[in-house]
Amino acid sequence: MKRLSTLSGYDMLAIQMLYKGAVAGFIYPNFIIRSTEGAYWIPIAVWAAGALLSSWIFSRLLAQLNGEKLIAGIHASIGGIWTCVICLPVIFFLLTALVVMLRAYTEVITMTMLPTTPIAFLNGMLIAPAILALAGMMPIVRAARVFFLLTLLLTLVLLIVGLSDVHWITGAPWIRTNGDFLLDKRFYAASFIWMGFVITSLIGPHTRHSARRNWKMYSAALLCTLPLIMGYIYLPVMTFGRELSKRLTFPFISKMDSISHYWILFENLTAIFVSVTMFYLFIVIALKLHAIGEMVAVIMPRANKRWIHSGAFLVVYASATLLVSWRVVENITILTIGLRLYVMFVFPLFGLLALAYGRRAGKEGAL
Amino acid sequence: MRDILASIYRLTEQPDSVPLLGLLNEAFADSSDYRASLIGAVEGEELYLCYLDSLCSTEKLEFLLGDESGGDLSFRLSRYSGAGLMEGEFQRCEIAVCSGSAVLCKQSSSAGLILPLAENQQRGIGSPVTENVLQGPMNAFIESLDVNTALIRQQIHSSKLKMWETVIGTASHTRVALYYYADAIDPELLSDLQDRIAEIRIESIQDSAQFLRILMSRKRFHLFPLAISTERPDRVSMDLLKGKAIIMIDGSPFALSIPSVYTDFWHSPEDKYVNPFVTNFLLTLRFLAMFINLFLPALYVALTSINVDVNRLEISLAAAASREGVPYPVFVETLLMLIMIDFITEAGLRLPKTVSSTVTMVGGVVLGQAIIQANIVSNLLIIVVAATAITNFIVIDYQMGLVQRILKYFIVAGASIAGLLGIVFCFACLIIYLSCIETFGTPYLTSLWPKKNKVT
Repeated sequence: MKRLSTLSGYDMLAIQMLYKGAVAGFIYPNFIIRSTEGAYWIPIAVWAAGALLSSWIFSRLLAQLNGEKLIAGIHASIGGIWTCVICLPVIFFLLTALVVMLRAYTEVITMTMLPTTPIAFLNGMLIAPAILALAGMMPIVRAARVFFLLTLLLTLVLLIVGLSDVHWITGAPWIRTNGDFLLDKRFYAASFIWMGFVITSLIGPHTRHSARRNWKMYSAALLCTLPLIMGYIYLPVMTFGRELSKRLTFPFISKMDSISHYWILFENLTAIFVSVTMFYLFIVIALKLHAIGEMVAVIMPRANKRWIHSGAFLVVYASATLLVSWRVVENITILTIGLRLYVMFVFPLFGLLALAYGRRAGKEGAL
Repeated sequence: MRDILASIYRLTEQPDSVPLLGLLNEAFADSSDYRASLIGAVEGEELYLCYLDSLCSTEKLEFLLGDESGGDLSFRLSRYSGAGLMEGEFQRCEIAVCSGSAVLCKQSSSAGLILPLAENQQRGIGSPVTENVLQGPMNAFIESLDVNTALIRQQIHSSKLKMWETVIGTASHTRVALYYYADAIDPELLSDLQDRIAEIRIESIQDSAQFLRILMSRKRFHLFPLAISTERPDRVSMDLLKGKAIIMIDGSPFALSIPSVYTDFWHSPEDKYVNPFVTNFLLTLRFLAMFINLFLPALYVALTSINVDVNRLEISLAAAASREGVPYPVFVETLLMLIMIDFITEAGLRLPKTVSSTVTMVGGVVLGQAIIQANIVSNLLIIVVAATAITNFIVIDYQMGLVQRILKYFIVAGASIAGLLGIVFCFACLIIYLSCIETFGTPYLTSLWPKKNKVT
């Protein structure tokens, strides 16, 4: 019997940590810092709990599969049209997430390292993860394993170095909150960081055993990355203060800019941070493109995989190039809140219903 | 020898066929080393011995053709002491003659008797040339498949060591052997390899590396070597016990270890013979050398031309000062020096040892000094290029070293376009490429550390 190419526990851990590393460093801190006047860890913890809930629902859904892929399982249960209806928002979410991610990153590059290089050229870096996505799930996983080792080491070094010149007093309040973030759209916009489990659910075959293991590893990855996420938010706040941090577009990058030690070989740690982020980003973009490819292939079985990936590549590249400013990127993130909430909580419920319907229809057919 | 005589009597003339002697004479018509000697007569018909003078052992032919071989034919034939005796038609006899055997045939018979009297020309077993070690066995494979098989069997005294052999090449008829350890090999890999080898249709084959290319020809072109090419029997035996398959061809002193993953190319056979701590240190050193070799010239380009602010101010100022008066952009300057050092390396490899040291001296010292004084390149770049060249020689596998030499140009190009980000992009592309490669069903990026032996 041929072995299913499911993700191992270590693969899941690596991918989930890479996912958070790709999105937590540059857009996320600004949203969280501006979303509340209280302690920052509370909105983070609330979303972490939300992510655990979402991933648990997904794991229930995946446990129903018997070595199938999620979308293929839903398709087999409710047919092409209904699969299309519940999956189109997911595809649209993936595309917008890719556009935002790519454009945000190239914007960071333009602002910090290559100010004169055209965005259209920088966006061309999409070609590398697109090729990886086309190669399949296991090449992505193998690349993720290597990138994980490199990025984890470098990110830890950067965070440890970032501890210099911090004033703990400026991080206060540490416990108090009035729940103001619940009414702030930026709190909900920051949901994109908690969607790692969704992406891995959409790719590869799943079994009851792999679903349970993946959920456990996702929880472990979440716990491991919480200190990193805290670092991305609290380090700039404890360096520049709350008010100044709110005005910074990229608080953590500004923090990296401010570090200067005679014993550090490099003067500009921002360049190191931006470079490391590229590794994170490539894996996440490849995963998302692969997920799009897998979904479209199920919905349109006759479509050529190369053409699907090429189409997704062109859409993402053109959209990211056509966005006129950073402000638009922020607005898209806010506008797609509903889409993300649908993907995190509603889609898995639909999936459960679809699979239950499919099983019932199967039993009736057998009778 | 009664058997020969009896066999000769059995050689008969087929009514519709052309006599073997005529066919052989025609086939080897323009070969000056071909001999068809009349050695006597049987039943009134002349008996000929056909052979190639260059391949057939003159000592072994002494019983028939020597000065002291007088007497009647049956007496002379009774002195034959060769191993085995086969009867064959023209095609078989032709191949046998080409392999160094002699063919006995009557003037009009359509078949002949093949006497295996080949004398293989081969060198003695020596030390490895491409895989030097200070600790461990010092013998290496040679060009004879039989000798190489013996060397492998001397390492693994077990009946589980199996050998599958076939012949490839419509012209060369090269013997190809596939070795494996029965308890360790993956049966799927074994049958896949046997199928692939059986499917090969080629005129001739000379070396195992060429054989690997043919074996992989149904796949797209790969930059990285997909199998370790080794001349060390100890390495082969270690790989066999790990579950790998070994392919050797007659005429090549290199064995192919299949499948080989990326990290295999960074392990020396010596690693098994020294202290594990030392092994890990050496492994770290090799990977460090790989990174320096790949990225140092690119970092020089990025940090002195695009990301000047990334470096510490003092270093940037020093770099700028060393470039004062250099007329070319950093990229051109670096490219020039990298090509120059590759010229010197290549010249040093190809020339005889006595001359190569002079070339290295002239190229490395004289040219380096002169090029700085002429303000064509900076002092710093000379250090960078020298370090790059040295680290390239730390690469264990020769083929991997060649790939690294190419890759550094690719990364330098990336650095000249987008600085540090260009380097990171190229590195990411490299990892992506490596993660997409599979070697005989095994991912090329399987693990960073070798798996523990399957057989204990």
